[in-house]
Amino acid sequence: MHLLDWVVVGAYIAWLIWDGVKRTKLDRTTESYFLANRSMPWWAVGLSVMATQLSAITLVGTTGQGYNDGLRFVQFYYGLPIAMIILCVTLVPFFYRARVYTAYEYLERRFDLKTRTFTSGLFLVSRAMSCGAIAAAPAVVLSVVLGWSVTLTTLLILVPAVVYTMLGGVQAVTWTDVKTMGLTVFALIIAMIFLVMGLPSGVGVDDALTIAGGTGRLNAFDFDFTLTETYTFWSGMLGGLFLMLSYFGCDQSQVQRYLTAKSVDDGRTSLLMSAFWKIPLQVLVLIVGVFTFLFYLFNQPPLLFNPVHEERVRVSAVAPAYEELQREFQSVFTARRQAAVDIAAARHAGDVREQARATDDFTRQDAALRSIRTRAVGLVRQTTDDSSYNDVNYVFPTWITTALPIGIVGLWIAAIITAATDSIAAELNSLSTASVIDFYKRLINPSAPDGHYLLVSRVATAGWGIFAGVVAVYASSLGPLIEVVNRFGSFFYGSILGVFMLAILTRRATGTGAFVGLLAGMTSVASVAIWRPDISFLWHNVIGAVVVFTVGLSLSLFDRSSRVQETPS
Amino acid sequence: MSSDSTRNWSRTYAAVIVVEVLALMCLWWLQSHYGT
Repeated sequence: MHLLDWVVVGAYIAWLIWDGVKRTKLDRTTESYFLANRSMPWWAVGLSVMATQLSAITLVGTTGQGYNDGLRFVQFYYGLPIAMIILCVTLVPFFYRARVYTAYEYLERRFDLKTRTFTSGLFLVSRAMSCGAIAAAPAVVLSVVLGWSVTLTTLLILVPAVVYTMLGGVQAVTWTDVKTMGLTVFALIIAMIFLVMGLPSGVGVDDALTIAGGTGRLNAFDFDFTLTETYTFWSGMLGGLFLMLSYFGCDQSQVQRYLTAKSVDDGRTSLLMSAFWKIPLQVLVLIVGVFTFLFYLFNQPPLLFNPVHEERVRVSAVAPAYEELQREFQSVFTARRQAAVDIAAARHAGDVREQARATDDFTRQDAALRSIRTRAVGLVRQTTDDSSYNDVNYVFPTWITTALPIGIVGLWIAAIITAATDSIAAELNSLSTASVIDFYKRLINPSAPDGHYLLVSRVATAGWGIFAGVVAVYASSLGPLIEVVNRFGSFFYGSILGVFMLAILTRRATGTGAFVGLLAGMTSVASVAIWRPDISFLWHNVIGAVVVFTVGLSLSLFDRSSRVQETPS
Repeated sequence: MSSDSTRNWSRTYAAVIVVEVLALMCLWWLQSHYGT
């Protein structure tokens, strides 16, 4: 990277830290530190909700998905707008009326302490580990692209997040999110402009879309009702609906965003911002990925986008096989490019038969190229023991650092780093809130002055930051463990939603019923994951929520020992 | 902070549904026009 790019990255990160530290003096109470005195404008909260969900994995991994599979991933979000409406009608007003700091605090008022403590504990375990994973994924990619060690890139991502979250609290997190969302959308639009400008002469946008469409990359609907396919219309509409209800309604990292809004109306408006903009934004990210595919259709790409792995394969025992694949790759790439140019020329000449012939040829060559890449990735997995290696995560960062002009590269690297930073900051902030409010203040030291809790909150933020850093640095060696933790998270996501459904949808549910229902839901999801691993994780959320609600309500009808203390109004 | 709603949300919710349907229609057009 050029010096000017580093100046852009350094200046942007310095600005974020300075702005966060500046807000330290605003945080004199725990309410201002955790909830900004419930005074944030709706648009800032709305952008913060969107930024928390848009991590560096979205920018790097989702553009890679667009490159490889096209638009089909967008189906994952089809249930989101409906989920937002349901939350605005149900949970949001309950949280505001209860004036809670954490979503789980509400569960104690409605049920009992054990339900609150258990759900908050589940949140802490899963979010603390995922915080490390959120830092690790972009840190590994950046370390390859920038040639730095993983420890250094992890620190580059984590240190700013810890500093401004610890000092500036939720206000620093929210205003950083606002800046990052602005930078990210600007960077995506700039990338799109450069990708369109990068099309060769004689190939227009319409031709490019025809070529990409011919490979199925513009397919955004799959109406097959199958439980084993993750991205279909139905899994998005039903499984995605339950996942979004759980994520935005029961996960402290999101709930805390909209609890900072001035009023229940502002809280609702901030959530509905995602309902309006999430699908278009996701399409933009995926279309950038599709156009990156088109860029590398006309410009020679490397066989493997990760240069470190490529070098290791080149000096390994499988080097001759890799050389052979490269020769094959070169010849198929040239044939595929020619077929793409022929499609554009035939379209311009209005020659339908020639266009059909060229399209057939192109589709055949594209499938052959995909097969060569799959074999090359297989060689990497064989050589490096990295069984989950995914080369598409390196496609977009490679394009950024090799095809964009000086200055814009820095802008994009800053966008990737801060997308990771602000997702982590929001999680650290919510981890600190849950650990202080649901555990320290509730169970350990309930009667200390507010200044003491504020100090403990800052220490907790730093502590969770250090924990996330350790997980991130060792994430590569913890590979299977991280997978277990992620899977563990999917076991209870839908189940926690089931507990909240019991809390607000029925007056008959009791604490014991909800708690046993939660255990039953988690066990059911774990059983499905073990005995039917082919069923997509999106359906786990539906299974978990339905089992918890059914078991919890049934048990509550027989449980006369602990009738409801607070009924929904 | 006010915990009581001061406006009627039905129209806003309807607008969310309309915008989602329009977004899906655009994607459907893209798929049927260019896709396989």
